[in-house]
Amino acid sequence: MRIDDHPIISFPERETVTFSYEGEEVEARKGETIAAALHNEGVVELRKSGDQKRPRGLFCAIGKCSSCLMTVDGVPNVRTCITLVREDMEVKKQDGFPEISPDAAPLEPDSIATKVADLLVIGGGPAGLKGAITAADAGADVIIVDENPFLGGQLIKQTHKFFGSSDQEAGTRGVEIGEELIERVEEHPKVETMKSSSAVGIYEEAVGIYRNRKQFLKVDAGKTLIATGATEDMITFPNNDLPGVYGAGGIQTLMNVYGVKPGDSVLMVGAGNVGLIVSYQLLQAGVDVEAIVEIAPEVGGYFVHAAKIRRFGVPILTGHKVLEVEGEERVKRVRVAEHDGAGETIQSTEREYEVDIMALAVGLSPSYKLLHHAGSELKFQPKLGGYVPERDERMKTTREDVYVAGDVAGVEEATAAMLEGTIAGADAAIELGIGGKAENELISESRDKLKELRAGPYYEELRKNLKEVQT
Amino acid sequence: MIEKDVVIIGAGSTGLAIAYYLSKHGVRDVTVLEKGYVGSGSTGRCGTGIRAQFADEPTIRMMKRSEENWKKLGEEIGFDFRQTGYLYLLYTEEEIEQYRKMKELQNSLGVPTEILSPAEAEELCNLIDTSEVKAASYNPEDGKAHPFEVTTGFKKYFQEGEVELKEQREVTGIELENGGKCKIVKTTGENYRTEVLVNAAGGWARNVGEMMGLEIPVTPYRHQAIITEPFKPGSIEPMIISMKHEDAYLTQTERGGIIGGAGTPEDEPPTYEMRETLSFEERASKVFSTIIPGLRHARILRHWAGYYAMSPDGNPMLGEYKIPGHYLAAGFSGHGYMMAPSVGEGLAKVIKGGRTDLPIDYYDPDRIDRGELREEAVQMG
Ligand SMILES: Cc1cc2nc3c(=O)[nH]c(=O)nc-3n(C[C@H](O)[C@H](O)[C@H](O)COP(=O)(O)OP(=O)(O)OC[C@H]3O[C@@H](n4cnc5c(N)ncnc54)[C@H](O)[C@@H]3O)c2cc1C
Ligand SMILES: Cc1cc2nc3c(=O)[nH]c(=O)nc-3n(C[C@H](O)[C@H](O)[C@H](O)COP(=O)(O)OP(=O)(O)OC[C@H]3O[C@@H](n4cnc5c(N)ncnc54)[C@H](O)[C@@H]3O)c2cc1C
Ligand code: FES
Repeated sequence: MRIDDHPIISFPERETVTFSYEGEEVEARKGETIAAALHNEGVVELRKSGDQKRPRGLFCAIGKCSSCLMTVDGVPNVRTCITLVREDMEVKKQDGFPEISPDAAPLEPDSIATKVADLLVIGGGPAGLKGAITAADAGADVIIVDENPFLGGQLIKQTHKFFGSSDQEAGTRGVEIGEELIERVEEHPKVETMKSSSAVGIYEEAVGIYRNRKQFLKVDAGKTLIATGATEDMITFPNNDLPGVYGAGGIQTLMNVYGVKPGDSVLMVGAGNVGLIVSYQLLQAGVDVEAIVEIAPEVGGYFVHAAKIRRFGVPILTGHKVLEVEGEERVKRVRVAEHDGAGETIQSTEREYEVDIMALAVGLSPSYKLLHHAGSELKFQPKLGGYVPERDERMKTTREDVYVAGDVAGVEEATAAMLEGTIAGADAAIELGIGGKAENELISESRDKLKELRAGPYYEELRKNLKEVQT
Repeated sequence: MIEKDVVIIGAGSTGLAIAYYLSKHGVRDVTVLEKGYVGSGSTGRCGTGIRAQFADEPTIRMMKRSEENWKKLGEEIGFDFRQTGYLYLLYTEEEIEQYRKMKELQNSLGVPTEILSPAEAEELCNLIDTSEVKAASYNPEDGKAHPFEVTTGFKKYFQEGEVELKEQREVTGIELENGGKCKIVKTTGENYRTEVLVNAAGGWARNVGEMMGLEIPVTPYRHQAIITEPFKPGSIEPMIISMKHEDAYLTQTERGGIIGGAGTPEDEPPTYEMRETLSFEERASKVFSTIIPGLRHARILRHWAGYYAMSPDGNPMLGEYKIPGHYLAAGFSGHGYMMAPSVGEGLAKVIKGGRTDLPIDYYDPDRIDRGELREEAVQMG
């Protein structure tokens, strides 16, 4: 179902595109993904899993989990959450591991190409965008790639006013900051932008980019900035893979980017800022939020966000855990109960919720794989979300030509991501012999701001973890 | 200092198999020392293939026995030796002639290789582009086994038996006493004293030799392989080989991923580098999708490199070497994994001082010094 009336976002009328799903015609809007279009039609089961043939639907909605694989125009295992609909496209469900299809259209004959740049930025979220702008402003030739069909990363889904910890950007909506950055990048004469383009490996010779499913690009760049963001975490309970169990960020993407209503009623898991904010956004989109379940004894997110939710009459059940999700092909019911603090269920407290979606806002883990492939040293730091790279104070990793910024350097927030992106972009320009005094000033300014942002007792553990990875 | 009857350096397929067969023959006071974890050398990086289709008698005999042993080991240790055959695609008359000759020799030694028509080859895997294929050589007894299952299987087997396997133990030095009769083996953990020392250190055999003042002519060449996302299991059962297309090989794992490898360019110098290269992916994906066009859209999930540890004639060096009680089992180039069970059986007997019906002598390491180089065994990848 489409969200037609939203208090903050307006979804412009778009041309319609018709494609076939299992032989039936489906109408979609130009610029939306296959998964979003199908979801709008009420199709939530996208395939049966490889081995056990269990129903699978969307989870992350940004290309990071492989839950949404389908066969498109004969090509198996296409991530439909980041693939745009095209006229006459043929979309098919997969029943277990797909067959090797000899008829899939071949790549174009000259489909391997090489490109040269001063700086390659991987990931077009706030960190990558800032890195690209900073280096390009200094005079560097920049290529920025993102595997999603849009730039802006998580930022363009943040319809709420920002919780920036200092006055930096606080009060502005994330989506507005995002739009401004995207415009600057897209209009910058020194930046080449490639959407729907996945970086697949960082080799000695070049970085491999798989572009639009049509071309393999080898980018030979002086420096590479990895700003791939983070991946939503999963928790264990029976049926956690049923269609209808979504990442909170995935739901945000469906609603706020594609204007598709994820379902009618939801149970949210996790009362951190993400859980609270997405609950509020669900209410704005006209979805009933039955409750928020939080395993910890207290709400983790900011008081203002929790208060807003409570005003809508949504209960926040702290000290509760998910027992099970029920349903055959999709989520029908969720059972939760209080626990005794040691993980044991208190039987008498069991409750059931009849919902068609369950949203998980249980944390994020840095998307570090490319860093690992590049050979940058990684360390496990729980407060930063998992494996993060060692880096110097200018965001350079242990591999000379590889920089890092944003959530992949440690899960924080967009403000920190932008500052780190600025520092990385500026230092890359300096090391390339392009940047100079102005870039050095930008770096020290940004470092001061980061310090301010991470000040205070709330961030003490984070600061300790950051120190551990500082080289 | 710990006293041991036998110390084996290296827990790849070679070291593990030697330890296993020693214990079968009653030599139980054995320790295997491994600097990483089981299979962390070339074994865990191999293409999983096991075949008896070779061109020279000793290698065919070794491999035939290996295949028999692989079967028994699989049953005893608990891994699958899947006898899905090796299928060599032949594109020219010369190739057919060469493989026909090989087939005759193989048949005479009890290996049931057949020459197939393109249509028969297609029956074994209907995804192959046979438009230019003229014939194929196929031995149904060849097959594959997953090195992870094999190495961890041995590990579990040893945990329940008497052989001691020590991982995370790098041998850092070897001192010789008593004219070499006694060897003091120093590691990053404890030290050992032994009379029998087996060098099964794969691509690092030379380094271990240097610790004893020996120069072992084994050189590491980087070889690479990939595995794709999983497809319906059973799509590519045999190991499919095309010497015409960069010596490429392709097969499917039980779970569904397609494993593939291809040759290293002639001019790539030997190296201890284990990083994979983008140029390999480029070359390999071209040849893979020529052999099996449906693979054009397969995504590579993982890509890795390991060594072909090469002796001067491309055949292994097996047996006592230069110092009494020092046994060498290295230089297996591209076929050390498949050979391990017969090498293990044969060498264990030699170490015990017994006789073996296997042609271990043919691989006598001193042949290199004597200048008696053997004909190079058939290689791919
Ligand atoms: C619900 C929610 C609410 C939030 N609210 C706030 C807030 O109020 N204030 C605040 O400061 N922060 C907030 N955040 C956090 C903020 O959105 C993130 O910290 C920020 O977006 C991180 O920026 P990034 O550039 O590091 O990563 P992202 O924004 O995640 O961008 C990473 C990009 O990299 C791309 N990518 C990944 N891998 C590849 C690849 N291999 N090839 C090509 N492209 C790739 C992805 O497609 C993505 O677009 C919120 C987050 C969520 C989920
Ligand atoms: C890409 C690729 C594909 C291949 N495909 C096949 C195939 O299909 N079939 C086949 O038969 N063969 C194949 N091979 C070859 C095969 O992998 C090797 O011949 C075989 O694994 C050699 O086994 P090994 O036990 O002798 O050596 P390794 O497996 O390398 O074991 C040697 C061990 O010694 C250890 N070591 C080294 N130095 C020390 C030290 N100082 N102290 C302690 N431990 C030490 C190492 O860590 C290592 O684990 C392939 C190789 C590659 C690279
Ligand atoms: S990759 Fe598509 S839902 Fe996660």
